[in-house]
Amino acid sequence: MKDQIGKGSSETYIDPVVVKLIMDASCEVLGVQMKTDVKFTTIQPLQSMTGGSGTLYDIASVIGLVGNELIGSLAIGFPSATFLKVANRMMRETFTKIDKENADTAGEILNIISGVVRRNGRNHGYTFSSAIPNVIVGKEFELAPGVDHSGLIKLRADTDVGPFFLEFTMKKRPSEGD
Amino acid sequence: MFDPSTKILVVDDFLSMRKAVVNNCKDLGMTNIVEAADGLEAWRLLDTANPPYGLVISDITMPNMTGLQLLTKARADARFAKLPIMLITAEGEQDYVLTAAKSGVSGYILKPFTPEIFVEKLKGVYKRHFKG
Repeated sequence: MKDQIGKGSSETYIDPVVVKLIMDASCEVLGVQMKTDVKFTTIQPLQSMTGGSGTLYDIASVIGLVGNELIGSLAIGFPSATFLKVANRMMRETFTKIDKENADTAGEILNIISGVVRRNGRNHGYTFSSAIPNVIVGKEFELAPGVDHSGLIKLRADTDVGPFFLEFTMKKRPSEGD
Repeated sequence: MFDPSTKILVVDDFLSMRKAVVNNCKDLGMTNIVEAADGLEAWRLLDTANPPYGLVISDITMPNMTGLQLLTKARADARFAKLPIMLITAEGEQDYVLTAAKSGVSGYILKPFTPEIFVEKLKGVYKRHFKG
């Protein structure tokens, strides 16, 4: 998996340190707050595209990543079966469908992941601004990365309650005068 | 540890985190719990509460009024100078921690946390407030 980080088109910029920060934060957050062990099984650099990333979700959350070295966005997406089990574990309730009582769990998971990335990123010389996540709820929708991206990457994580995915785009922050 | 009858105010803009905290409190037999979605709503509840709250557990980063702003406002009011206030955050930034400490926070817990960590932090808050 490590060999796949850093590859892409000539315009891509995939910072392996940031990728690892995000992966480690995801494992920590789901492992601790939701008692869900996470194993990343697939890492897929993507080419620039204007369509969807090819994975279908029932709920997702997206947050901006703006830092001293790079800018981009991070998304986490779940099929409903995985999401409901994760939400049930976090809140220790029993939800059978995604609704307003549990949907913001996706946002809070991403909120905590980004907070852990900010916290641990400082040890590697990265500073990120805090941001507010959005949550998207639907039925089998795809996420499409925005325009003007450089690096696109999709990670699949497997857990004992099903898979989820992280998708993020990043590009090197333009220096002053660019 | 806090008496089970303690009136608790749980403040977080994420419903899912409020539920997680509420259920952690219920594990300890504490069921007299009121929720607020931001610091401003929490302040209104604190200001008009009768009987008063015995514990506040608040997120830091929230719209309208942050947890730090709520803490500062509470400590500036003689009624709440000694109210146990615990802050919860994913940030952990040293500036936040220092500001919270200077503002008189009773305890601090970093997300993510397990129910066990939550209980230990709450015990620490109780000990600091009531046992010197």
